[in-house]
Amino acid sequence: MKPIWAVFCKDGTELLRDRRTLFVNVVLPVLLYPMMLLFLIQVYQLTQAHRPPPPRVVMIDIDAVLVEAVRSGQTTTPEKPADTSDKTASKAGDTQVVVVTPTASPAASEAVAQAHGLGEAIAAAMAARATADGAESPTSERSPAPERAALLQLVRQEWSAAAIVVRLPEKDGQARILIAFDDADPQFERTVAVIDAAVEYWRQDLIEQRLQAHQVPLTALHPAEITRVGLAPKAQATRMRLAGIIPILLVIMALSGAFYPALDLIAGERERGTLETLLTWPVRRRDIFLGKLLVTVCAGLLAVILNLLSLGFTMGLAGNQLAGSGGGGMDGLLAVGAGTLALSFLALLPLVVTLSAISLALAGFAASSKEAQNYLSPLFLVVMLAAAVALVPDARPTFALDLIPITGPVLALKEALRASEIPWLHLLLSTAGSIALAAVVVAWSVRLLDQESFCYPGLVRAGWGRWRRWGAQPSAPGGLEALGLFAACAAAFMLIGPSLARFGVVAQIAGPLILCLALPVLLHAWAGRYPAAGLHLGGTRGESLLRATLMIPCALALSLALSTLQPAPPPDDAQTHELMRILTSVQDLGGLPLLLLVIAVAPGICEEMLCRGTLLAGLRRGLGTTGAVLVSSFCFAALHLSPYRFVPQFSLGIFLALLTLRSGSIWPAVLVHIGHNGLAVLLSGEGDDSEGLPIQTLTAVTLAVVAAIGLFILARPRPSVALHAPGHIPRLP
Amino acid sequence: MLILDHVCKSFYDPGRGEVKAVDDLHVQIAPGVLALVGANGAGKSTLLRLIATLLTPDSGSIRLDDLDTRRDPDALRARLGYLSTTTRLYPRFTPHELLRHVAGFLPVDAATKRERIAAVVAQFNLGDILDQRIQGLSTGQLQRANLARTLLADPDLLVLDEPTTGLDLVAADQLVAAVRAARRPGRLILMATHVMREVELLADQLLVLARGRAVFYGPPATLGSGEHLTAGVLRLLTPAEPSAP
Repeated sequence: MKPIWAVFCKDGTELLRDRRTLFVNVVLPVLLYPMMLLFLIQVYQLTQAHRPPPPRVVMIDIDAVLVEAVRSGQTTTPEKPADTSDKTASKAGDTQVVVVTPTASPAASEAVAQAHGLGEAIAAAMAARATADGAESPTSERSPAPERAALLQLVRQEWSAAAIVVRLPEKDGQARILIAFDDADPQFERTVAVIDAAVEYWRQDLIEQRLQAHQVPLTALHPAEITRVGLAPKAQATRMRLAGIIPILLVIMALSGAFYPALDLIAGERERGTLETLLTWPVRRRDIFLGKLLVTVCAGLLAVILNLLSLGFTMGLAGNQLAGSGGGGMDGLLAVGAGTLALSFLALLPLVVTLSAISLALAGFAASSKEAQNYLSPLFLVVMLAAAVALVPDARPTFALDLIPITGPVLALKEALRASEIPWLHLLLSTAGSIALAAVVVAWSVRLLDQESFCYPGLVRAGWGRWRRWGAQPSAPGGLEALGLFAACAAAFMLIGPSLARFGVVAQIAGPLILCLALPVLLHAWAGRYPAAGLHLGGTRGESLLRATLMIPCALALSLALSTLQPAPPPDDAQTHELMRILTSVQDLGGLPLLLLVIAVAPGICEEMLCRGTLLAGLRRGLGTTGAVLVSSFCFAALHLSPYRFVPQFSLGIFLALLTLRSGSIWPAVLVHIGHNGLAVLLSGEGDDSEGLPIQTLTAVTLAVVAAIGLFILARPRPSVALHAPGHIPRLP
Repeated sequence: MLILDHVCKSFYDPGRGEVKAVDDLHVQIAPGVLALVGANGAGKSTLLRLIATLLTPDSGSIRLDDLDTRRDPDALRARLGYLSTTTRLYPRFTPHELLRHVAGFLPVDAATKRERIAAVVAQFNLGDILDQRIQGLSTGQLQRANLARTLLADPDLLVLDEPTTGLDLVAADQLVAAVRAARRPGRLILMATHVMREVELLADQLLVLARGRAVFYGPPATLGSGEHLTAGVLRLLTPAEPSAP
C-alpha cells in the first residue's frame, strides 16, 4: 500500500497545483449551477421587461360573456368563483389579449360581412368533410384553401389580429362559433390558450343558464366532488420524483470529475516528458497505475459531492428567487435523505472505479491530452446511453438487467429510491456485477504500464506498420483484437440474420451462424497467421471427448436449474413465438435430424469457434484466465439476445470455457454444446405431452452428478500439453 | 557487472520498415564509466532504455549481477538511476518536493532519506533553488536537479543519455565534474555522448555502436587521445555507415 499511497500523494499534489484541474473539478461544479441560475434569472427579467404586445383577437357578434372572458383572460368555471390565491387566476393577467370589436363604419361592416361569409363557408366545408370521413371532431383539420387564404388576409390586413372568433347562425338550438387562428403568428400559442380557456368558461356558462331555465340544480352537472391529497411524507415523494434522475446525475458527475485527471495522469505526463522519469523510479508499474487510479476515483467522487452541494444550493436559491416555479430547494435534496445518498454512493462506487480505470487506460493509449480527449468522448456517450435507461418511466430491474454494466446499478438504484422497500437482491446482484467488472477492468488496466507499446505509443504509431507484427509471432490475437472481431461478428449476425429469412427457415438459422460467426473466425485466423492450437481450434485427445460426452446432461441440468432463477418470458413474448414457429417449420421440413442439425450442430460448432476459440484465446492474453472466462461468457450470453435466457447462457458459457481451457481445444466444448442443445430440443418435444419437465427433481439429481463428475475431473492430473499462457510470447511494436 | 547477452531489439520506422535498433549485442561491462558513442540512430538510446527496463529485448537478456531486466525489473530499478534528454521533471513541484517524492519510494528509513536529500542538495548546489517551482528553472539548474534526483537512490547503475545536450559550456563542465564525482567502487556509469572530450575525461571503457552492432569495445586510449581519438571513432563509423550524417 505504501508505494500506491506515495504515487497518490505525488499525483494528487500535482493535480491540485494545476489551475485547469482546480477550475474544472472544483470551481466549475461549485459555480456552474448558481451562474446558470443567475443567467436564467437575467434572461427571465429581460423577457419580462420587453414583453411583446398582447395578441389581438377579432370577435364578431360574440356573446358578451365570451368577449369579457377572452378580454380578462378568465379561466375558471363560473360555478367555482376564482380563488385569488390560485395560480391559474394569477396568470390570467399575463395572458390578457386585446379584443377588437369592429365598429359600424361602412368599411368595417363590409369586412364583417365578408368574415361571416367566409366563416360560414369554411365551417360548412369542414362539416361536410367530417361527415364524409366519419370523424368526430374535424376542428384541427385544414379548411378549404381559397376561403382560408381570404380569411387570413382579412385577419392580418384588416385587423392585424392573431385570431378571429365569428358567431355563426344557430342550428338545432345549438350556438355555433368559428375560431380561426393565424397559426404563423408569434403569439399563436398564447392566443390559443386564452381563447380555449375562455370558450370553456363560456360553454359552462351556457350549460348553467340552460339548467337554471329547466330548474335543474347545478349539482346535476357535478354529481361527484373529488378531493385529491398526497399522503406520503415529503422525503418519499421527492425521492420518487427524483428517482430516475439521481443515479444518472451521479454517474455523469462522477465521469466528468474523473475525465480531467484521466487525461492528465498518463497522457499528460507523457506529453510533459515526466512519464519516462516516473517509470524508472523504484516502484512497481501496477502500483503507479493504482495510485493514479486512486486519484481519478477520488476526483470523480469529489466532483459528485461538490456538484450535489452546488445543485442543492442553487435549487434553494431558485425556490426563493423564482417564486411559484416549483423549485424544490435544498430541502428537496435533503429530503431525499442522507442515508439514501450514502447508499447511492456505495452502490455506485464500483461503477466509479470501473469508469475511472477505463478512462485512465483509454486516455493512457494517447500520445497527448488532446488525443486522449478523442478516446474519452465516445466513452461519455456510451455511459450516457447506458444510464439513460433509468429515465424510461417503467424501466425496472430484472436479474438479467442487473448484470449489464452501468444500466444494472443505475436501475437498481432507481428502484431503491422509488420503492418503499429497498430491493436488496437487485442492489446486491448489480453491485456484485459492478465489482466483478471493476475487478476485470482494473486487472486489465494495471498491466498496461508493463507493456512498452503502452508506455511508448510512438513506437507503434508509425503509419501502417503498426498493423504488422515485428519479431516473434504471437500465437493468439490481443484482447482488443478479439473483442473487435466478436463485435463485428455480432453486428453482422444481427443485421444479416433477418434478411436471410426469404431463403427459408434453415438458411435463416444456419446461414448467419456459418457466414457471420464461423467464416470470420477462419478468415481472421488465416489473415493473422495464427496457429490453430493458439485459437483452441486444434485437435484433442479421444479421452477429452469421452469425458465431454459424460458432461452433456450436467450442462443441461445446470442451464435448466439456473433458468428458474430469472423470470420466465411472458406467454405473449414475440421472440419465443418466433422461435417456436421456426422450430416447427424446420421439423416439418426435414424431421428430427434436420432440426438437430440446425438447432444443435450448427450453433455448437459456429458459436464455439468464436466464443471459446478466438475470443477466449484473445481475451486470455489481455485479461488473464478469470477475466477471459467471465468476459467471453458474457459475450456468449449477450449474443443470444434474450434477457430471459441470459443467466443460463452465461453459466453455460463459463462451463464451456473452463472445459476448453482444460483440454486446450474447443472440440469437447462443441460436443457438450451440441449435446446440450440437442437434449433441450428433444426434452421440449416430450414436454408438450407431459405438461412440462419435472425440473426440480432433474435439477437435484443432475447437480449432484455435476458435482461428482467435476470433483472427479479436478482430481485427475492436468494434461501434459502446455496451454498458451497469456502474454507468454512478447508482442512487439 | 552488467551482461548484455545477445540482445536484439527491432521496431518499425515508416521510412525504413523494420529497423534493428540493437542487433545481437553481446558484451560484459565492469563497474566504472562506459562511454557509448555512435551516429544518430545507431541504437544508443534504445540500448540505454533496454538497460533501464523501459523497453524489453526481443531476444537475448540483460543482467545486472544476478538481476534480469525482464524477470526482476522492480528490483533492478531500485539500483538504477536514469537520466536522458527526454526525461523531464514535474514542473509544478519544487526540487525539494521532487526529491521528497522520489525518496518516498526508496526502501530506506526516514532518517536516511533526509540524509540523502541533504547530501545531493549539497553535492549539486541546489540550496538557492530548492523552493522554486521547477517550471521557472534554467536548463542548467534543471539538469542539476535532474542529476540530483537520479543519484538520490545511490544507484549501482547510472544511465546517462547525452546529459550535456543543450547545456552551455559552464553547465556542461559542471555536469562532467559531477559525473566524475559520482564514481565509486561497484558503480557502473553508462553515458551516451557525442563529445569526445567527455569520453577522454570520464570513460574507462568505450563502446562504439553502428547500426545496432558493437564495432569497438575497449579502453578509449586504444584509439588514441585528442584528435586521434575523434579520428579513430570516425574511421570506425564511416565505413560501416557511408550514408550516416
